[in-house]
Amino acid sequence: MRCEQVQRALRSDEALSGELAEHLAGCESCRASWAADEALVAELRELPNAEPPSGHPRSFRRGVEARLRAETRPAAPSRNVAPVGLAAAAALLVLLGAVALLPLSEGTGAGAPPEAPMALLSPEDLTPGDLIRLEEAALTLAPASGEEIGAQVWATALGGETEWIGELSDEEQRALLEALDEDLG
Amino acid sequence: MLERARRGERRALDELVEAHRLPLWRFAMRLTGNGAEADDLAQDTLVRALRALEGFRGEAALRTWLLRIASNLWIERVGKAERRRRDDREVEEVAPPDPPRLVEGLLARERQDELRRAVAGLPPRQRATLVLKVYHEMTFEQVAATLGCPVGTAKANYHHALSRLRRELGAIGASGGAT
Repeated sequence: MRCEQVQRALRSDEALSGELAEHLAGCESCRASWAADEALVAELRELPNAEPPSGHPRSFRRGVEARLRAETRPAAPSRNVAPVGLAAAAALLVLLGAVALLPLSEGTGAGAPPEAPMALLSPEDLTPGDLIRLEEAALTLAPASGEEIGAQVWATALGGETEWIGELSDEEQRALLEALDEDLG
Repeated sequence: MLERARRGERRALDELVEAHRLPLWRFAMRLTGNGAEADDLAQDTLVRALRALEGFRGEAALRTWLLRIASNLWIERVGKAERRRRDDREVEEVAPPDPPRLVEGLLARERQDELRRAVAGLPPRQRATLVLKVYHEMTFEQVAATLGCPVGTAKANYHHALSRLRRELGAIGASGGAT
């Protein structure tokens, strides 16, 4: 057996067959090479793991979400614009608006749903930064429920369902949207 | 969980990310050697996994499947650039050899940096093979399955990786015998 064959065999996790062992016993060069391989692998294994920076779980998750959203954006079919698309778009506004305007939810009415604000903030127009700001605003305005609302904001942007949007009356939605519009300046 | 995460369910996505973020990121760090690139690679891997659900064959193999996606994604992404850089380095290697890099008493940190640089200098497939073999303790069959290559190729890549590292690092024990 040639030295090169022996060294390849040793690196291939092959069991020490009789021929291999016999060659090793009589070849100092192959023994040294084997030891060098073992030492190198041991050194590599001892290299400490890199640790991600603090805040990594959150920033990482946001990176994944932003990618998912970026992927779904061009695929968003125009046929979804109404009524589901409008509801989703409105949900983005209502979700945040609801935080500051929960008392309004007791009002009733049957006004026409506002259109301009919906067009202004369609999920497809929002950047990941917008979503993060919306989520943070929700957390600031309503610490108790902000996390859930933030989750809904993201779910909406990612194409998920927002079940409770349908529970609000048109009047409630309009009030919330107007308040949010005012809030956004 | 993958299917629910793909549909945008926040909780499922959180679970998926939290379960795999760190091992995937560390694996990506071993490949890229750069935090920002590791973030990109690990995040792209998860997104690609969600997009390619039909390629997933069972929860038990999820981590291996993610490693496979990450490896292939990375090889595909940097392979060309790596080859170009490697060619440049090989030109440099024609120059007179450096003095031996292993000096007794070398600080551990310097040695670690040296090892990392040497690993970073490996061609992509060799580097991926080495990382899976050394840090994930995979068999060659598992490496081959992860990288989607024949077992013989995995063995050859590992062999070349070790040879190259030893050459780069000036490790003791010259490769190749007299016979």
